[in-house]
Amino acid sequence: MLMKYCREEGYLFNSMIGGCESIRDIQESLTLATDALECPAIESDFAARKLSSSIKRFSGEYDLSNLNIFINIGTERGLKLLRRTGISNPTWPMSRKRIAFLIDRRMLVSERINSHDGHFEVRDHEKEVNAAIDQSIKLVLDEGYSYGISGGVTTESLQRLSTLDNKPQYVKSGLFTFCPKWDDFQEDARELYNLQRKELDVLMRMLNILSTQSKAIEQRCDHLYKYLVKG
Amino acid sequence: MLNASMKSLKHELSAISESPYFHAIKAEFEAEGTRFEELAILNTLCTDLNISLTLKIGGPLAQRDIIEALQLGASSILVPMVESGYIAKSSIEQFERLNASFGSLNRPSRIYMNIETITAVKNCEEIIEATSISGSKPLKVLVIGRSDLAASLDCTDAEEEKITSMAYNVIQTSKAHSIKTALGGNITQRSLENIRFLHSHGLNYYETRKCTFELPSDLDECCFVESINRALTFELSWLRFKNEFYQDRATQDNQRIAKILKRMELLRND
Repeated sequence: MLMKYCREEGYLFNSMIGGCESIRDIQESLTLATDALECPAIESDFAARKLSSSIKRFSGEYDLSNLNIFINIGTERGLKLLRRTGISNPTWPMSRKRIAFLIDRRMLVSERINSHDGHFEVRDHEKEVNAAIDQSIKLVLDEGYSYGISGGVTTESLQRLSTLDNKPQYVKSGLFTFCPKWDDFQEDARELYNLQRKELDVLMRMLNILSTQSKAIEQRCDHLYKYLVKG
Repeated sequence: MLNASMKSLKHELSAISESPYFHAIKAEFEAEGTRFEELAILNTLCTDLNISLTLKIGGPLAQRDIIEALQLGASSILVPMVESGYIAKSSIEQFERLNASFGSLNRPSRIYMNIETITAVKNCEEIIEATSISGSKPLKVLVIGRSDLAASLDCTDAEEEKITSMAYNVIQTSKAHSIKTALGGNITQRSLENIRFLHSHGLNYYETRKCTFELPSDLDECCFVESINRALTFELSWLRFKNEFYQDRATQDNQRIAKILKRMELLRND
């Protein structure tokens, strides 16, 4: 459904896979002709190497040179990895520019304040988290990779991100990821607003589909309850 | 043809379930890349024969895989590539939330985690501690994945002393938290000595790609070798079944291709 939506609206489609060696997810995403793969929870150089070799398994069947890869970093250990060693030389079947480290600020904050219930605002910790990202990302940028951020993205946070030395090439807000230009804040903010409006629209449509399904079960439950219990 | 290989698969499944030390069948969305319909077939056979099925999901945060494993009623879910306490906690919370919903319809599943990199070995204690949720300990087994552990250390042989020593450390840490342990990754006859050593220090299971075996108090060499052979025989029949499953579809398409070509030829001749 989302793939069709993207094709019709002229967006690229990014498929989140289950992990660095999630062969089934990679296979299905490539069959769907995804434009990008996103891999969560990378915390070691070995995990990045695993991801690279899992993707390369499909290089005989698919042209992977235009595929974009997002590598999610959501823990302090992941940031340390970027800061200390970078990603030491896994070979990729696409240019390094197409590989972006996507730093999940929500996960980073959650780990920092040891909160797993999601009852916090990224903006309350944004200054420290942005500074940590800015310091950690330089090495991989020098190695020719790209980077992006996600988590707690608002117009205000876009403003704060624009002050970083290393500005993210990608900003992910929920379903949508976009590439801010950074030289025209008003335009970037407008783009973010438009995409968030679109996300609300898509989510409401999805909710409608799901509630149609649950309504049918609910009606049957009502019917049985009336028949069996009320008589 | 497909029926024959299905029968053979069922026969082998029945045979492996009666082999020494047998505990469970394994399938995985991860490296093996099992497709859902393949898994549905294997799951039906396991249910018919009352065999436990462990399903390895694609990653610690692979929510869709957990949902599908619970929909199928997998007895256990194995989470790979857990390398830190934070990810372990996120994974276990996700599992507990979903298991609570599905568990009311099927029997609740158990959760196992893979320790398969040097980072995970170093963080083993932190991982175990993070999986305890308000006093309860949903994590039942830690599976030591020797092949990947060796690869993460640039070792070529899973039987190397360094790997066994790390497995020993994981077993000791797990034992202190009353968590069972399994040893996997390139298990062959050569592994017997290391398994004996680790078993004497608390190892509970060993596993091949497709089967898990429970270590008895008196591990017998002949039974161990037989279990490995049976596991390989079962894996072979599984792969043959899959091969014929897809071959059968290709044959049907080929028949249709021949028919269309014949019709087109007839049209040209008219």
